[in-house]
Amino acid sequence: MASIDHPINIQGLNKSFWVKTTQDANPHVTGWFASSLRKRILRQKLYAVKDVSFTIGDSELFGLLGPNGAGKTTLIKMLCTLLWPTDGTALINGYDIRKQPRQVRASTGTVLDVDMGWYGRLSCRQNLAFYAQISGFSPSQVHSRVDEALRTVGLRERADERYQKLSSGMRRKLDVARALLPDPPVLLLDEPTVGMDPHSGRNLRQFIKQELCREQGRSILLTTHNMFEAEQICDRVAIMHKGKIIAIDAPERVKNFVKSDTTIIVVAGNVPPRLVDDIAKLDEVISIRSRPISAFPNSLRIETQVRNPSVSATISHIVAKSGGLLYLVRFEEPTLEDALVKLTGEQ
Amino acid sequence: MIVNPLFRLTYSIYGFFKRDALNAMSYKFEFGTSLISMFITALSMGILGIVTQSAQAPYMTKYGGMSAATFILIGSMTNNFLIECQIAPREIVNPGVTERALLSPCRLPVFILGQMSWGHLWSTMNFVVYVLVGVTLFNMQLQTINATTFLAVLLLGILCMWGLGIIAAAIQLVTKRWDPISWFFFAFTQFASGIFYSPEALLAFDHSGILYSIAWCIPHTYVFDMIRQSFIGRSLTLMLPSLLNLSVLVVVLFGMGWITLRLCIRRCQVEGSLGWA
Repeated sequence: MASIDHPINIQGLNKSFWVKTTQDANPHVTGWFASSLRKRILRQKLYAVKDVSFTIGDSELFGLLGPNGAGKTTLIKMLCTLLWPTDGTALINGYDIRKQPRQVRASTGTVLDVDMGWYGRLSCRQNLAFYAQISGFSPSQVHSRVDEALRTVGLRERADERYQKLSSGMRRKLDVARALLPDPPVLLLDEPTVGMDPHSGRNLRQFIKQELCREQGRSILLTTHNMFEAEQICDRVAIMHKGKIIAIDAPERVKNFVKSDTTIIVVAGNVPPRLVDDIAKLDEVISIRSRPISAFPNSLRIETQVRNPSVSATISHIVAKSGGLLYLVRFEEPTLEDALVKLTGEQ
Repeated sequence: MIVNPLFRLTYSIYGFFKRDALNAMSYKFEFGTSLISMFITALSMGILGIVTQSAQAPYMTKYGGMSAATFILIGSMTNNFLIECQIAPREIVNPGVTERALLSPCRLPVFILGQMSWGHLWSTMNFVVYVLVGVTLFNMQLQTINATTFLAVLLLGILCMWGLGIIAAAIQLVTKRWDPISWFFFAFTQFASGIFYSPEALLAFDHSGILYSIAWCIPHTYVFDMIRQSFIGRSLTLMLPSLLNLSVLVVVLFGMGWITLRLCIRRCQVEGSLGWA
């Protein structure tokens, strides 16, 4: 077994699929059959995950972010051995996902984005007992593991309730409980809070960070679309785009990638018509947009993205010089979402 | 705690069985009506035998002059059992189930056996109901049964059907559609392999004997024939050619099934299509 300094150690992982695309073959063909003759079907290799390498340490909560189709779920599915990599490999607890898939599964708990395999008419306890039993636990272990998993996710009081009667938040918790059955040192969570109301989502986030990661010391790889979630709980994040990792660091540092683009909010009254144009002419200004404030006649809320925050003094000066009344000047720090949008180039 | 591997394996399979049993019992009305249906179907098979007794009589000499009711009851109950063996492996392609099981450390053979366990108990119950109806109402004789022959043939039949079922399940795992293999065997077995009438009866309207020859190429025909012979006390040594043919079919189908399933799972893992979508 290889070294387990890093419970998750991904080494040059690739996953490609063959996809069919059509290309115009002969635009000069005419007639009723033209549309089919003009097209030529090509098989194209598409990389869902390309040359991904990173490690996750002990008790680390690592967030994988990216737009739809970035390759996050594909990566998770390869790590939990559901998908076979095209190239490269990964070590989970020192076990190779290619060579030792059973050991990988035994030491990993996985929650997929769309999780199935539950039996609606069975209770939470019966469902979990089934999964514990097929995982090879003895009868006494089955009972203790199921109890422990239910207690950990706070579903002990609902243990004998049928799965079909659970709310979506509780179902998600049961997904996590199932992943915890083998008491795995590594957890792979694919959008664990998706579809949950804000309150349940916050509870689950806290639970993942405090209980699973900090207190129980598990290493967690979590994918999410929720930037607030990633910012709040992750020790490090990676931004994935078109199958590649384009940024990887602590959330604060990832935000620094776009920190030069500070947003300044200015609220001013009695503004002359040319004020916005005058501000826009400044070299440090990247973009500017404004909208009137209906409660205050002749007032504007100006939102401007600038290269240098010190330009706020110049903006205040322009407002004062034009005879306007400056009500508010506020800086907005870039969020992780800004970083993701900028880095992936998507709106 | 060191657990005996065999016990652990059995306990894992029991996990699947318990899950399906709990699920089935939760639909109490359906469970009850299914039991009643078994008795009604068995009864109708026996009556069918009485009605067709004179027409079937010439073909019964091979089975020691067995009554047509017993002949049909044995054919029907064995067929139900074989059908269950054939369709049970398809449980492994249920949406979500395969993906979830492959996420656990559960071994593939345990998963397959476990998924089929409840279905097999159900078909065994069906078998018992037919025997009960046959013995009590249609003079089915159990005193002459050769238990060794019966169990050996049944075991070979189960293995054959598992092989076929696993091939079908593997194809379905990739295509996500109904497979042609199951269709062929269901259709042809009903028609030619001797559930309700002896395959020899086919020669009465197909003088070329093509259908009769094809019937003896499928495993069901051998199983029906040898099970009936076991009911009149024949030993395996008296059926060596059939036994050999069936054994070859077991090796071929079971081997093919296992290889096909592994290949199809790997293909789905490469393509990312283990889920239903």
